[in-house]
Amino acid sequence: MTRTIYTAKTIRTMWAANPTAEAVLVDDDLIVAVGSVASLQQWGDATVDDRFADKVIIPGFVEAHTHGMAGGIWSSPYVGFYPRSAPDGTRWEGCEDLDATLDRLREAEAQLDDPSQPLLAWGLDPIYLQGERLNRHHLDTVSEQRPIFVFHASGHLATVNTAMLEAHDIGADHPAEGIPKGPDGFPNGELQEPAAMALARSGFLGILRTLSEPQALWDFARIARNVGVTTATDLGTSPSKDWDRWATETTDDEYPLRVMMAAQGNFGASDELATQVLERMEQQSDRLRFGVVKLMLDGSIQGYTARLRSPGYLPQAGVENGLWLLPPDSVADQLAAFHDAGLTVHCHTNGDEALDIFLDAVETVLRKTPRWDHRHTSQHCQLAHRDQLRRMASLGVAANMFTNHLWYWGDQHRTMTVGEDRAAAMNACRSALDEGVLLSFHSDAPITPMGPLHTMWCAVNRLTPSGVVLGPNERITPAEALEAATLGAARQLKLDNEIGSIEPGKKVDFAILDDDPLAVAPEAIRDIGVWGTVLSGRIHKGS
Amino acid sequence: MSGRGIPVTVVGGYLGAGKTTIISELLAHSFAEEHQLRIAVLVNDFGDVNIDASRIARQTDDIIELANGCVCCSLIDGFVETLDAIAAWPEPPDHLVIEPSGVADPMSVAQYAYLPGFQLAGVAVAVDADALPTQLTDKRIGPSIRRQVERGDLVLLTKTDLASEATLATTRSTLATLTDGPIVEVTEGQLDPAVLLGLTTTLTEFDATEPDDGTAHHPLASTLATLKSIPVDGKEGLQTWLESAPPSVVRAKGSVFDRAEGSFDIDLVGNRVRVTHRPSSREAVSAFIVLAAPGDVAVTEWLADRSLRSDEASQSSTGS
Repeated sequence: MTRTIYTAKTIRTMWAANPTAEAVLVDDDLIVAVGSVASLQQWGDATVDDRFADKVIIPGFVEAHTHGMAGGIWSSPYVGFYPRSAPDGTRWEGCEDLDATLDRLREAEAQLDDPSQPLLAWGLDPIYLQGERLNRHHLDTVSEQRPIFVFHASGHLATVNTAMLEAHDIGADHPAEGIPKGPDGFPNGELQEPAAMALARSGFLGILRTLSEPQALWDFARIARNVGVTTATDLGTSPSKDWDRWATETTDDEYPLRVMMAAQGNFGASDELATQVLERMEQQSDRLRFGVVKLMLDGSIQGYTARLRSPGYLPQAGVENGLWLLPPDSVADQLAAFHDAGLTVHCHTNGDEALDIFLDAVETVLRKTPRWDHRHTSQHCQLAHRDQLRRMASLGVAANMFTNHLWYWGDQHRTMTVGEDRAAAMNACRSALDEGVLLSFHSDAPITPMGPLHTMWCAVNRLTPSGVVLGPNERITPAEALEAATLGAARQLKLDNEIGSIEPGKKVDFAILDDDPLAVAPEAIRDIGVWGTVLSGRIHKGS
Repeated sequence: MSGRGIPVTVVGGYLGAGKTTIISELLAHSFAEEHQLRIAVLVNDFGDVNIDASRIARQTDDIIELANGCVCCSLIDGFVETLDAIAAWPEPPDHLVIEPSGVADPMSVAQYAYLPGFQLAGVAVAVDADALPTQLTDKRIGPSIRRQVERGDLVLLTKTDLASEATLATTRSTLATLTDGPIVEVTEGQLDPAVLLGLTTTLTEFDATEPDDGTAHHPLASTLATLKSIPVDGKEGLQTWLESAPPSVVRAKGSVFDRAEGSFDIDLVGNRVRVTHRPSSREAVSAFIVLAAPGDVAVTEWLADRSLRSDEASQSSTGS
């Protein structure tokens, strides 16, 4: 088989010795060399392929914190505040007020044939909406007969109509918690937390069902391909529910994504899970990888459930502190099972107090079982202080920051959660790099839309929707941001020997862009068009 | 809505409070066999539950079946899926006990018992008698533990043998400020299964719950109260009266007849009182079992308060 030379307007390799090139020589799934078309002649015959001649080639983006449900959730219509793109490339405008939300639902309702089929929708976030909060009466104007279930962006709430309440006998005297009542004493349609949401069975189970369809995993990969991602983590998977279905879909050579199956380590027996992960690592394929375990310590900042150091949340929040998802005293034990097995633990720590607990645990397990290059990672790491970043650097703990928050909730953090000063220090990328912490950033899709160019743009500009630059001193350069979104994340997944840069011997994983993120104005990075990807040598055009 | 689903008891409490020991002892207790009860327990990690290998009849990745018919399930696939699966078992359990994570609010977890096929039978919160005073001053975990106790139906006080008298006194007085529910002492996981599983399903089985070896392992006494007719002033009056039960009443179960309104099923678990109207029932006898601290005058008085005002009342006390 002849080798291929791809030419491009520019190639950004992320390889320090040869940072740019005009052509790359590939042999099937592996990179042979980079340079000029002329210099690549030293490797012998090759077909020159000019299809990307007016494009920019960069290493395929690596997204180390997303969730597989980001694909399946698109089986239902989107009613979120900000615009989003569906897996087929369709752009959905945001629903910026209650009327727009209801109009969107009416359109979707009109498209359902079977009158008994519930209408499901997702993405609502009341934090953005002024005026009256969505309740059952609003939804009754969409349909009085068809049950409706609107799943909120937070994943903790749903709003349903009267038909849905009646279909499942959720009445005024229902004894369960999480069913707030309206002024009339009847449930107002909001269902809080999964136990209450699950009472609206046809809605809740309907959403769960769409997430488990094979189509869901393909849609996840299509979303990734459309934004230039070639490797993404499904962070928090169950061996029994998830691993086999991922294995089935990713065996198809047309599957356009490499997926890291990060096992959910909060539940079940840690040592057994460690064994299962190690077994799967033995049989992993190019497109399905294992080796990362997820732990979750706290909740979210905008949900006031992240665990914060003093002084905690703004007084108006009216909460003492957030919630633990693991007993803080058990984190070291839980971590030890995976650490001792040689696995890498990615730990959800939104708040700074949660990060303290994680770093204490890392220090404890390292004292007992010294290990070099473990690459344990703090996920979200949104409120990390300089002292914590120094400690992370010494302990070898990496930071995968949630820079998309700066845009999507930046104004809310200034005014509603932690206040102006700490909001300016959130997702402190500059400090992390200055202290020598291995950095990456993420979308947490479907929490925010997957899109590394947007995520980079946030880290570079730190702009909020109201026009505030949130903590200008924590901005990083476009080059640093590009490294974090490619090689940085690859290093956190321990895949940087294979991916993350365009270097001889690595996988032919490219993001094909319309423009050079290091040449456009920094504020224009998120507007760069993505043509598609190349994954292990296979070309996948975006939609 | 109150239905006839599988009763669910949640046993919560912070890390180290002895939840798992209580669950292990429950599975090992002869109670289940004696009453031919099939008990299922849902735990986060059944590697932690102490089950003698010789008692295991069958085992899969997420289910251990014991020779006595009890079943231990892992919660790894989440509550909704796991409970759905249990409700669909060919032989559903008679009772389900859930042990949530140490930081979970057990009362929140208990809300899953309102899923179809189940009913909530109470929330017990295990508390480490020796550690509680220190834990409550710990800013990191104190508020979670306080919330667990405040929202629970009853407290299972463990490790009392490890606590000094002074600590125990502090713990008890602190608990009294957090809950007016009963506080049941548990030593080394030894607990009358009736506290968790309820007083057996039928009154005829009552004698079988009678402890056989004195008070050492059974610090609770059962009282069978048969009251021919109690003036209960309807459902709300009955509810109010049950809610006024002295703190040492851990459980009460049975039925109460009201001349005007007919029969009511009652089920009391610590602070939780549930009264269900059975208008079709023509049973004119009130009979219920009360599980309470032995010799508590307040309990006798509480019962007498009603029986005195009834036409004919009798009480028989059994147990120790």
